[in-house]
Order: sequence, then structure tokens, then C-alpha cells
Amino acid sequence: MTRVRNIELVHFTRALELFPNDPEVLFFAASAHEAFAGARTQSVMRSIKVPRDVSFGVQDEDAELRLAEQLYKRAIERNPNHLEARIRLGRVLGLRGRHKEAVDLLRQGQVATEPVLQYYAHLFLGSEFEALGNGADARQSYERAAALAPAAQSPLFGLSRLADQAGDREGARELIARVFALAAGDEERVDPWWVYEIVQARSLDGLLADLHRRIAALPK
Amino acid sequence: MTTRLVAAGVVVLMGGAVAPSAQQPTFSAKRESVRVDVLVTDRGKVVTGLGASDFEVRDNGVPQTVELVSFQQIPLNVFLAFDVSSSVSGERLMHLQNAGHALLDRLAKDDRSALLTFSHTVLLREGLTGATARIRQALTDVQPYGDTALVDGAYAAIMLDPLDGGRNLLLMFSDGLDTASWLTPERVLDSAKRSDFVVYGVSSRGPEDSKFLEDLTELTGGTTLKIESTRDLSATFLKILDEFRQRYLISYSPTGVPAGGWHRLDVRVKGRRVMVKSRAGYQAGA
Repeated sequence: MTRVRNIELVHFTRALELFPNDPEVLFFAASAHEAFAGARTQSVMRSIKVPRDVSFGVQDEDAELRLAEQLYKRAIERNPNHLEARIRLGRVLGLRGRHKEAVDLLRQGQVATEPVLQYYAHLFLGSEFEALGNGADARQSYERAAALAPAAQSPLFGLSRLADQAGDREGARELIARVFALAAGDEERVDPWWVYEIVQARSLDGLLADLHRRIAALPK
Repeated sequence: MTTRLVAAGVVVLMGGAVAPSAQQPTFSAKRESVRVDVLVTDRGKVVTGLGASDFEVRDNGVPQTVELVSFQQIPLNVFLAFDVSSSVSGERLMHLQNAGHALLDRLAKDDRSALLTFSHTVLLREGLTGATARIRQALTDVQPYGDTALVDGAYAAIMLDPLDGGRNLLLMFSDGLDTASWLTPERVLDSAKRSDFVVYGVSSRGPEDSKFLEDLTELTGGTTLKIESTRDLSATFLKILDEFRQRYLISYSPTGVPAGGWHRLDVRVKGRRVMVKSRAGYQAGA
């Protein structure tokens, strides 16, 4: 369901009741709250009127980010090698204005072996360094993200904005020209940022297969 | 020589350098010129016939002498930045294309136009050109799909500023919520301070969801028009174009204010109770 952006809190809540210390359950519950803090969900929540006694369980952006932070931290406590949780926690802390803590976590996430996770770590580091006023490191991070995903527009936007902020309007324009020069077709033009809210679901097939194996191995 | 010193919706025409290397340099009088696009209305109707002496301009609170007012004289650079995400399909797309064509029909001979579209991808369909037929074709070829990256689209459009001292109108249309942009609204608004655009927005979203567009248009001296449906989009676009054409372009040489940093602008018409709309200020220097 996460894969098709149908994130239902009830399933995560029940899973947490059953397996409160499972790092994967904690991780997925955290990512649900991170998604709920995003514009897509928050806009829907603003636009619908519900009776006083009805609740969808979604809170405002700050509260959802706070929940996501708590759950990611618990996931990392249970599994310190969970680099994806570290990267996501880094982003959440950045959104909460704690940029130095965010940088520490994202740096740890840089060593992830999956290119998509490396991309997120570098992309988010670019933003966090920018927030800290560290233009040189921000530029380097965005450049690394751009190298990992040459068809992605987000690192180029980040680089352009950095140039503009530094007073280099011509440089900023050249970087946007690079965005315009990217392939127009949706198949060639892939930016992992666009699927950030659902990308964690990519591992679910493996987790389910592992679950089935374990169940099959149980004594009859 | 005409050189841009400051790009923030205000062009500085520079005959020489800024005052050198003092701790807080100030503009040297009679050397640079700041231009401001101004709309004057009285109970909703555009006020015409004003001259330089009718305007009162304060730059960071310091009164300035308005030197030049032009009205409907300078050709327009009209940048269209349209949301073509999946929500703009079927009838909405037809309305958007018709509205774009209607606006292009209304351009004058020397006006130029450009078309940028954004879904989750940001595409420059056609750069600034006087060949309206190319814009028309590009608009006709648009196929809606995907999510909406309004903030990234706005930033890319701002970077298209031709830096030629022309009058730049950026008309942004969006019916979607931004779910795909990388850049934050705050960062793009900061870049808009250094641009030369007056941005007009057309949105069908509620106030919370169109806050970025409202902030951007307010900052650059434009307006966001809310629409209930796209059925009357042509009339809305034409209203924007007509209004933009009727704006004054005033200029002054800044005196008594620092050369760099953010300059807050306050433009009024002397002795008349009219509405004056101009950009909130401009960013001088880097």
C-alpha cells in the first residue's frame, strides 16, 4: 500500500502493538509519519471537514515530524546499522531546524551501499549545509548527488540556488540551462527525490519473502 | 553602457561603478538608475496620465526624486509558466491552451514571449522569442502528467530573466498543490528579490495551498487571482496582460541609501487617495 501512496496508519499502529521493538516496524511507522507531515497529506487534512468525534489520526506537520523523529530514533537504537533510518532521521531533524544534528546523521548515511540512499544523503546534506551557511560543502554535496543521478533535476536546482545566493546569477542561470537540457521524457528523466515518500517500500518484497521463509521453517 | 548592478525586479542602469570600498558604500548620485513597475488604480480602475512629479518614492524610507515615467512604451517580455501536472487534463487543459492562445493574440508586434511548463519535471518549451507561432505550437503540444513542482518551476522561470532592461511579466498558472519541488519557498522568494519580474499568479487552490504564489506575487508587485474554474481562464489572462500594460515604469537614481542589501520601496501618488502597487523592494549588490 505504501508503494502506491496508500499509507494507512491503522496498520502501522497495530504492527507497533504487536512488535514494539522491531526495527523495521519502527522504521516503516516513522516513514508513515514523515509522509503525513508532507504537503500532500497536510493539504488534504486542511481541506476536509470532519465531525468532532471523527479523527483520521493525522496531526499537524510539527507533531507528525516529532513522531517520525521518535520512531526513527527507536529504530536506530534497535538496529544501529539501519542507514536508511539515519538518512531519514537526518532529513526530519533538518525540517525541524536542527541542522547540525541532521548533518551528523546524513554523513553517517553517506556510506550506504545503495546508490539511491547515497543520493538522498548527499541531496539532503546539500540543503543542510546551505541552511548552516556552508556554501562550499553544500555545493560539494549537491555535485555528488548530481553525479549519482545525472538525469535528476533536484541537485541542479540546489546548485543553481547556491550560485544565486552567492551573487553569481550567471552561474545560476547556466545550471538551470542544464535542467532544461535534461531529457524531456519521463522514462529517461528520473529523480529519486520524486519517489522519496514511497521508496522505502522497495525492500518490502524481500522482507515478506524472509517472513515466509521463517514461517515455513517453524515446527509444524 | 547599460549594465545591471542589481537584479531584483528593479534594474539598475549604471554609468559607472558604485561608490568604492567604504564600510557602508552608498549609491553615487546620478550614476545608477532603479526602475520600478507601478500599477495605480482608483476603485479598481487604472489611473492614467500621471507624470514623474506625481510620484513619491522612498527607498529604505529616504525620499527619492523620480526622473522618468514611461507608460505603454516599452515592449513586453511575457513569460508563461504553466502547471501541466495530471490534474490539468481534459477540459482544464483545453481552457489553459485557449487562454494562452488568447493572450498571445493580444501581444503587440514588438512583444516577446516564452513558455515554461512544470509538472514534477520543469521544461522550457520555448525560450523568449518574437515568433509567437512557436509558442503556440509548444502550447498545443503539451501533454499533462505527473505531480506539481510549482516552487521549482517559479525558480526556473525567474532564472530566464533576459537581463535586457525590458519589462518582464511572469504569468504563473497552477491548479495543484506542490508535492515535488526540491527548493523551498523561502529560498525561491529570496532569489526573486534579485529578479526583474513582475509575477502574476492564477490559482484555483485555497489560501493555505497557494501561499507561495501569493508571497511571490506580492514581493514582485503582481497579484494572485483566484479562480473557481478554468472556464474563464482566457478572460483572466487577458485581464492580467491589460493590467500589466497599463503599469507605469518609473525610475530614480538612489541617493542617501546604502549601495548593497535589501532596499524597501514605498511608492505613492502625491495628493491622491489611490491604490499603488509595486514590488516590495529590491536586493542591491550580491
